[in-house]
Amino acid sequence: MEHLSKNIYQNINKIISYMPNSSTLVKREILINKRTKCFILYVTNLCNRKSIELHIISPLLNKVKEDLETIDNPAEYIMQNYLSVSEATIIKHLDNITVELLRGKCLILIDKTNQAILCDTSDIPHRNIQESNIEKTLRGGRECFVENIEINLALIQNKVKSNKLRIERLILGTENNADAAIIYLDGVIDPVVLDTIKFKLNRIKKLPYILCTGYIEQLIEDFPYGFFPQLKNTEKPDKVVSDLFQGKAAILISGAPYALIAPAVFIEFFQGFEDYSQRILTSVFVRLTRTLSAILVLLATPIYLCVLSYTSAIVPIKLIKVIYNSRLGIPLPPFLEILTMEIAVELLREGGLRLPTPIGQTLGIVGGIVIGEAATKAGLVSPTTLVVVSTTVIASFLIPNYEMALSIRFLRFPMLILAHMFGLLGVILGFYLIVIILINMNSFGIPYFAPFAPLNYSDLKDTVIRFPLDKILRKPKSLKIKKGKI
Amino acid sequence: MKRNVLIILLIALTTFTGCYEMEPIENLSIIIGIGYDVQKEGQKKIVDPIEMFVFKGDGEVERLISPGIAETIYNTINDRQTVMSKKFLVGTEKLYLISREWAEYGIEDLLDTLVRNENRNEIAYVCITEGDTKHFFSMVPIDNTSMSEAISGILKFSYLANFFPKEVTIKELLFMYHQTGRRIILPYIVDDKGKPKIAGICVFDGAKLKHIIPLEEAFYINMIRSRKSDGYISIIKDNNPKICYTIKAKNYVNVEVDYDDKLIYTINITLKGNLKTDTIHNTAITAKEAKEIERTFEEYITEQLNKTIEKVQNKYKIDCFDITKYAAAKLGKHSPLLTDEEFQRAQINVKVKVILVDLGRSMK
Amino acid sequence: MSKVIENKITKRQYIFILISAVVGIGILSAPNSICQKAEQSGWISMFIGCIYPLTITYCAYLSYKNLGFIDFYTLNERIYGKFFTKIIFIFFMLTLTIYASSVLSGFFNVLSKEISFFLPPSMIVTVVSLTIVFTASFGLQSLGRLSEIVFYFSSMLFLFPLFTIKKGDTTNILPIISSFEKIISSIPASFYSYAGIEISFFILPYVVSKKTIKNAGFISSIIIALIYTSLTFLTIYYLGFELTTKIYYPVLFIMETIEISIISDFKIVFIFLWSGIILKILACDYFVIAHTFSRLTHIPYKKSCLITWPFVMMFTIFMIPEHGRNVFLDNTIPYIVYIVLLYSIITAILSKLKVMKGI
Repeated sequence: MEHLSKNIYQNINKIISYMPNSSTLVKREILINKRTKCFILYVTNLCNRKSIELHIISPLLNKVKEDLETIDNPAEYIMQNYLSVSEATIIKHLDNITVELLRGKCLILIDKTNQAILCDTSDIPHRNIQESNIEKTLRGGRECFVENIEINLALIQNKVKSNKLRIERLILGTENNADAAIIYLDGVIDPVVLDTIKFKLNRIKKLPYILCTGYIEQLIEDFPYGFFPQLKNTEKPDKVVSDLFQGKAAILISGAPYALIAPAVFIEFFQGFEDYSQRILTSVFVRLTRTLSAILVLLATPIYLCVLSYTSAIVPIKLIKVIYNSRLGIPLPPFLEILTMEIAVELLREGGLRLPTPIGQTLGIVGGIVIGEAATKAGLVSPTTLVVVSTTVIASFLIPNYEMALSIRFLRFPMLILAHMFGLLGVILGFYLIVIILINMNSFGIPYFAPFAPLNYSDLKDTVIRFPLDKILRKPKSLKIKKGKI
Repeated sequence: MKRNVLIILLIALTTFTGCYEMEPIENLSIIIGIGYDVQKEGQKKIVDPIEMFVFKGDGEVERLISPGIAETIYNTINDRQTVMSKKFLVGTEKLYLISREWAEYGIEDLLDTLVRNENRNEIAYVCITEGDTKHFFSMVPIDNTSMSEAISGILKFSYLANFFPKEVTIKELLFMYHQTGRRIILPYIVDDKGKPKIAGICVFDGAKLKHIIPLEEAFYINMIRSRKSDGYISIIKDNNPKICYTIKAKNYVNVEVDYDDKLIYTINITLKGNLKTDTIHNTAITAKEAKEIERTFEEYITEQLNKTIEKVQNKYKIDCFDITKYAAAKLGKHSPLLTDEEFQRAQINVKVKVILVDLGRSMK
Repeated sequence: MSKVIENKITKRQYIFILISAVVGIGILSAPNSICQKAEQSGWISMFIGCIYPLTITYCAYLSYKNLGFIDFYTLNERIYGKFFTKIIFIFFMLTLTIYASSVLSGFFNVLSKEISFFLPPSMIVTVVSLTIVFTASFGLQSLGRLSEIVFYFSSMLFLFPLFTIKKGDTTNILPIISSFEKIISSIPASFYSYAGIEISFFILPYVVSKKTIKNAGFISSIIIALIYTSLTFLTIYYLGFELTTKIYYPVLFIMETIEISIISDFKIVFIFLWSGIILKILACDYFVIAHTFSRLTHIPYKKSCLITWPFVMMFTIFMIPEHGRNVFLDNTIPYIVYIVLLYSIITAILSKLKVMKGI
C-alpha cells in the first residue's frame, strides 16, 4: 500500500511515475488562501472541465479564507465546506489512482497533509442510447446497451425497482482494469449458481486484458469445445431484466454494449423475446416453426443426400421423377454438389455480414438469384438441390439467437459428411450424438438440456410451446440446482 | 477418456470410408411395373417384362419395357442385366401383373419372394391379366406416363363400383394366401380394344388359379366378400330400362357361423344407399313407399345372392365369398371343418337389409 | 464441474431405465417368436410373461430393503461371500454381453437389410458400438436422462401400429384362446423379450428417493408388458398369426404398409425412431457390462468401458447370422432366465434371513 506523504511534490512525482508519457494528464497548481500549495490532477477529455472550474477551482481560489495549516484535517475540511461536486472521497493512499484518474476522476492534492480528495467529475465521451440494429424486436423496448457500463447499469436499475436487486462491481484484467458488474436478484437466483459464476469470474481476474463480453463468455463457460453457446448475449436491457426475474445473473463489462446472461439452457436460444408479448396461439405457432426450422437445417440436406445417393426408394415415384430429371447431366456427384452449394451459401452469408446494409442486400440478391439461376442454367447444380439448400439457409435465419444459429448451421457439415459416409445410419447416429452431447452439458451447474433432460414437467410449459402468461410467470424449477440436478 | 473414444471414432470413420458402390439416383433405372408371363413355346420359362422410366431431361419422361427370360423369377435378372445400361432399383414398383397362364401354373415362388425380399413394395397393386403381361405394358397410356400407373389407377379406384374390395395390393395378396380360411381372389384384366379393363375376378386354390368368374357373378360375390365398398344396383320393371329403380349402396357385412351336423353361415348384409333414379313412382315418395322400395331391393338382392351362392357351391365348389375365415374364427384355426367339401354342403343363409339414407332432392 | 456428475437417479428415471433396458429389438421380433406356439393367442402369453420382470424387480427391491440399499457388490459379498460374488458378477457380465450383442446383431440385421445395405458389416458394428461406448462412458446419470427423453421421443413409435386398427380383421384374433397348453408352453418364449430387466439389481441402490421405490418395478414391468402385448395383439390382428410367424420382423412389415403422401416407405421413419430405442437399450446393457467389469478388476469405470468394447464386438460378429443367433439364444436364454429367477428369489430370502439373524 502506497501511502501519501506530506510532501506534495513527492506525491506528484509518484503519480507521474505511474502514468509516464501521459500527455493528457493535467496538473493545475493553485494556492489556497494565497499560501497553501494545491494541485488538481485530472486526465483531460475524460473530465468535465466546466465542472472542475466551477465547483473545484473557483471555490478553492476565491472562497477559502481560513489558514489551512492550522486545521487538523485540511482535506476533509475543504471537502465538507467548499467543494460543490456531488461525489467526493478522501483517500490516504495511491492504490488504483491511475484507474481512478482514467475513470475521469479528479484528484486534489494539498500540501502538508497526507490525505487527498478524489472528486467525480467524469464526463467520458459515449454513444447515446439508440435503437438496436441487430436484435430487432417488434414489440418491447427499443433502447439498447451502450459501451458505458454506468449507463447500462442505470438502464437495468430503472427497470427493476426492487430491493432484491444486487449489483456487485469487480475489475477484470490486470492491464486494462475494465469495470465489470454482476447483477442478480437476491433470493431469486440459486446461491450455488451464483457462487459458481463468482468463482469463475474471480478465476479470470488475473488475465492481462479482457475487452468484451465474448472474452468472458469463452473464459467462464464449462465446455469451450462444445458446439453450442452456453451463455446468452443480449444488447437489450429488457431481455436482461426478464432473465433476472427468472433467476439468472447478468454480467456487464465496460466497453461492450452487451450483457452476458448466465446460466443459459438450450431451449432459451430458440425463444424470442416477443413470444411473451404476442398472442398466445401465434407465439406457439412461431415457436413450433422455429423448432421445425432447426430440425430442417440439421436434417434436410443430409436426408436429401441419402435420397440422391443411397436410399432412393423412400420417396414416392412422382418425386423421384422430379429429382431424377433435375439430376440428369450434372457433372458433380451428389455429395460434392450439395457441399459446394452449402459452402457457396456460407460465403455469401459471411460476405454480406460486414458490408453496409445496401451493399449487403445487393450481394444477397446477386448471389442468391443471379448466381443460383446461372448455376442451374449452366448445369452445374440441379434446381432441386438449390431449392433444398436455400430452404435450409432461410430456415436457419428463423433461430432468434445469432450464436445458436451459427452453431446449428455449423453442425450441418458434420451431419452432411456422416450422411455421405453412412447414409441414413450416419444421420441417425449424428442426431443421436448431438442429443447425447446436449444431455451431458452443464451451464454453471444447470443441466443444459433442461427441462427436457432431466425432465421437468412443469417447466415444459415454456419451451417449444408456451402456456398462458399467468401459468409461466414464475421461476423455472429447472434453474434450481437442488431440484434440477438429476 | 471421452477424447480417446472420440479419436478412435474419428479414425474409424475416416479410414473405413470410401465408395460403397452406390450409384447416384441418375444411374438407377426406376422400375414402375413388374410382370410375370410364361413362355408358351419351349419349356415353360418365365418371361419377366419390366416397365421402367426413361428420363430425357427437361421434365420429359418416357418408358421402356425390358423382358428377361429364364427358368426362375430371379434368373430373369441375369438375362435382363445383359442388356441393361443401368442399375436396378426395386421398391418403387407400383404394379404387379401376373398372366393367366402363369397363375394357372402356380405362383408359389412369387409369394415366397414377396415375403422374403424386404425391398419389394408391399403396397403395389396386383392383378391377373388375360394373355401376356408384356402386351398390357406396351399399350399406349392416355392420361399417365406409363401403363403401370394407368392400371394401378384402375385398380385403386375399382372399389367405387361393383363392390370391389378396397385393397388390391401385394400385402392383401399375402394376407389372402396365408391367413386361415382365406384364398387369393384378384381382379382379372382383359384387353378391351387396346385398353385395359376389369372383366372379372380370379379365384385361386392355394397358389394356383382355379376359376375366372365374370363380372356379372363377381358383382354379388364381391358384395359378400368386401367391406364398405360401393356399387350400383338397378331393378328394371317390365323389361323396359327406362322404368327402374337405381340405388348406390355401401355394403356392411356381418357373418355368423353355427354348426349343426353341417356348417350354417348366416350372412347379414346391410346396404346403405342413396336412391339415384326412380321412374316407377310418379308422386312424391312417402315413408311407406320408401319402405316398399327397400323391400323390393331386399327381395331382389336376396334372390340374386341365393342364385350366386348356389352356383358357387355347385359349380365352382370352392369358397369364393371369403367366409371360411369366420368359421375358422369360431371353431378354431385347426378345425377340420374348413375344407371345401364342408363348404359345398354348408347351409348359407343370406339376410339382406337395404336402408335408403337419402332419396335425392327430387320432389316430384 | 465434475462434482455434479454423481451417479444418482430419480425414481422416474429408474422406471425409464428399466423400460429402456428391456424394450428393444423385441418390439420388432416379439410377435414372431411368441406366435410360433401360441398362434393367435400369443398376446396373452406375452402378458403373462411379465411375471418375469415383476419377480426380478420385486426381489431386487426386497433384497436391498433388507440390507439397506448398499452397493450390489457389497450386497453379494454380505450374502454369498467373496468368491461367489465374483462368480455372480462374471455371470451377469456374460449375460448382459449376450443380450447386448444379440441386440446389436439384430440391429445390424435390420439396418443392413433396410437402410445400410451398402456398408460392410464390420463398419456398421464398429460405428454403432463405438457410439454406445461413448454414451455409456458418461455414467448412470446420463443414462437416466437419456432414457427419459428418448422414451418420450420414441413413444410415438408405439402409436404407429394403432393405424392397423381400422384395417385389421377380427377373424384373425378369434378364437381368443387357441388352447391353454399352447399359451402356457409359449410363455418362456416371451422371456427373451423381457430379458434385460436384470439391470434393476445394479441401478436400484443409486435411486435417490428410496421410500417410494417399491412400486417403481411394478409400474415399469406393467408398462413394458402393455407395450409388448399391444404390439403383439395389433400385429396378429392385422397380419394374422400365419404371416406373423413367417417374418422375422413382422412389425416392420406393418410399417411398410402404412401409406402417407411424402414418404413412400414409412419403414424408414420407423427405423429412425426405433434406432433411438436400440441405442438406448445397448447403452443400458453396456453400462452393466462396464460396471461389472470395473468392480471385478478395480479398473476405473470409464476405462473399463473401452476395455470391454472388443469383447462385445467379438460376440456380436459371432451372432450376426439370424438363424445362428436364434439357435444360440434358444439354447441359452431359457437357462439364463431360470438362473436369474432362482438367484433373485434366493437372494431375497437369504437377505431376509440375514436380517433376522442380525436382530
